[in-house]
Amino acid sequence: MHHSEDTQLQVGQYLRFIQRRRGILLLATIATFCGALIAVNLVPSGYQSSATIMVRDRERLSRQVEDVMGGGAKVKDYREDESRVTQIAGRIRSYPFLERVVKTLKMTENPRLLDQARKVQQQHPGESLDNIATRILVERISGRIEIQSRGAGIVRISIVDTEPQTSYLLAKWISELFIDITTSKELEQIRSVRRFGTEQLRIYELELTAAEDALKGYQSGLIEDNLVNGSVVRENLIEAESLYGRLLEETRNAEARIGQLGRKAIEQGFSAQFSLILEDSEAARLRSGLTAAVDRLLLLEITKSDLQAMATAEASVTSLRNTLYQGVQERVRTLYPESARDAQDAVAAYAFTWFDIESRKEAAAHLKRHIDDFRRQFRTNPSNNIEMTRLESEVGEKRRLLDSFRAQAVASDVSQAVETTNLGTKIEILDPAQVPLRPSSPNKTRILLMALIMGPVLGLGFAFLTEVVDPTLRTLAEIQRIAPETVLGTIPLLSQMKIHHGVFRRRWVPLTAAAVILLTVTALSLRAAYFSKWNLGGSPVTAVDPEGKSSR
Amino acid sequence: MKLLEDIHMNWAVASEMQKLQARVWHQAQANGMKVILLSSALRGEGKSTTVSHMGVMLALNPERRVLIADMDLRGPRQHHEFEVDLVPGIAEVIRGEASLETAIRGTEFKNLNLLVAGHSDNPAEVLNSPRLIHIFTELRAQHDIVIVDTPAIIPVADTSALLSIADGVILVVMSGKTPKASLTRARELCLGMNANILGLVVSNAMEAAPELYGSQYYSQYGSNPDRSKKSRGKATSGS
Repeated sequence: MHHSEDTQLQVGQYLRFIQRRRGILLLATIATFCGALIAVNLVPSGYQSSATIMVRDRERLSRQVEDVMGGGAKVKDYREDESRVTQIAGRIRSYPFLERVVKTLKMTENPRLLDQARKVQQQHPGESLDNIATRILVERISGRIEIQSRGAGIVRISIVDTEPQTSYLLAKWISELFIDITTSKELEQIRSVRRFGTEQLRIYELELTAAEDALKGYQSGLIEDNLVNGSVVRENLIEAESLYGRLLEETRNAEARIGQLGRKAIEQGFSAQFSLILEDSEAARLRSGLTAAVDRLLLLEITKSDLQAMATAEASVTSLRNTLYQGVQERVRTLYPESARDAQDAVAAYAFTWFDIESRKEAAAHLKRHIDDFRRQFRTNPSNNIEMTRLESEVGEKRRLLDSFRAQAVASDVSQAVETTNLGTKIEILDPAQVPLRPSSPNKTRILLMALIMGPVLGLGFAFLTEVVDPTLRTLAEIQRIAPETVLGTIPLLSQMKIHHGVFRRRWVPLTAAAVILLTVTALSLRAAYFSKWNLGGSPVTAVDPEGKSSR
Repeated sequence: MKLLEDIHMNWAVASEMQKLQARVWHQAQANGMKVILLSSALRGEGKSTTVSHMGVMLALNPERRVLIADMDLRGPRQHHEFEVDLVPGIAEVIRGEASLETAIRGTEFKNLNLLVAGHSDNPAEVLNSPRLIHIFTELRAQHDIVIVDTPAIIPVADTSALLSIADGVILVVMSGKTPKASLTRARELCLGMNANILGLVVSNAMEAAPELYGSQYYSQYGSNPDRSKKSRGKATSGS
């Protein structure tokens, strides 16, 4: 009970305080509201235009395949979006970018801006007028740009200006120029990487050639230490290998022709077995002679013998081949007497070719044996294995690098192609800028509501302040603290006790409120009638749409 | 008369005045005091109104001889309260322009007399006149209690001159108006003159003690004239 009475007492004191200072509360509310009313009418309306762009990571071909085949999607970290928005904001607000926007929209042609720039130029005579005007504009525009993330990879660029057309042009061209510049930069980067790759490819090729030369040189050096009683030596090893390769090729060519000869014989009416002539001993003897002659000729070639000996050997080979052919013909006629002449000739040609092939094969095998003998001898020298391994390893490494780099160069070509196709599109405009139909700021309703709320709050604050600094005595307790004498009586305030102050002192609250309201109405009327352009904002900017329209 | 209207129609006023006059009379009788000054630190704190109302309440007892003397020569009020002429008053008596007998007037109450301030261009001369003491000696002889209305203590020195002839002084304080420093100074001045401060009267009680004025103490009585008359009767018998 006692506690509730104390509570009632305190509540009553607060209510009396409010009642005592109601004038200040009312005045503060009216003044705040009128001030807000003037402010929302004097502050220039802002028109906001926005463009939304989508930024995607580069699409790899492998990812596209994954998506088709049902591959997993990467979970994006929100920090990547924040970082991306920060990067985009930094690039858009950078001086070079905004300078380009300003020049594209021809914003430096505003006469008021030029006047302002001239004044600044007086203090900086070394700067050109156009440069100063551009810097002024860039500073103004930079503060009006707002960049927000609207989701994964989606960024919204907003511009506020007092003119709707200007804000639209700025939003439109900032978004479009940003995409142009970003795409151009990336393509240029790919091209420069490719140029670098081409040069690097040439370097890798040179390095591989040098490594192979080093290996060959080392191999040649080793051969000197291993002179053997073979026909193949250091000086003629490459010749021997080349000759061997040629023999194999000739053999393959001959084998390719022999099928036709066999068919021709059959077409001529030959129907017996080819094996009779192929296994004929006399023919075999003639073939052996030819093989030996070919062997001799090969050895003469690889040992670079004198021309006379080689001519003699060649003549011998030719003669023996003729002898072989004639001998085969005779044996065919002997072995296949029932066949027609044409068929016999065809069979003889087939059999001769077969014998020729066999003799070449034998000669090639002999040569190969010589080459292998030579290699086996210097490879078995243990002190040379390590160095040989190192050089061979180096050649292998250089070859792998070159192959890898060639593959990357191909990939770079693919990337560049991908960039210019839909598959590789990185930035696009989702929602283009539009001319705003209504002002976006100030939000008059909200400001006035806030004023209605803040007014009493401010009033309470002032009232509390006046109460605190009020020197007068109010309660009996306060009075008794000063004058402890007995309170003989407490009497109500009678009309005779009231001092009749002047009109203003008695009615200062309503008079002041009326003055504030009158001032507000006057200010708003003047603004509406005479100062339609009068506002608290800075100098407006103008923009010329490169596609036609001006903002003013 | 507005004065009587307040007493008849406003129960709170009547009640508080009744209590005030009872205490003052009791103290005066107990200590043999006859001349009681009412003053305040600053102007407009309700001392003149308190003087007039208290004088009326004291006079409700017909056996008392009460005098209200208005010594506020700079801003006399009592002639307004009782709706009489300003002259002749104490100033004329001191200047010899009128006798004390002619200056002392009767009121609606047979036992309540009024001595108005009169007109004076030089209040200091009047208040410092040696005749003042003789006048008050006569007033003491003729009345049981003299209630003196004075100017505010701080702005002028008039009250300081009167403190020496008074038996006691009551300070009137208006809640919500009297600054702390002013009350402090007023007390200092009184104590410096060796004045006998009988107590305080706090006006604007709604501000000073709202818990009393908002409670059942007065609300059940309201402002019914019939009930007010009944309280008059009680106040008379209880003094």
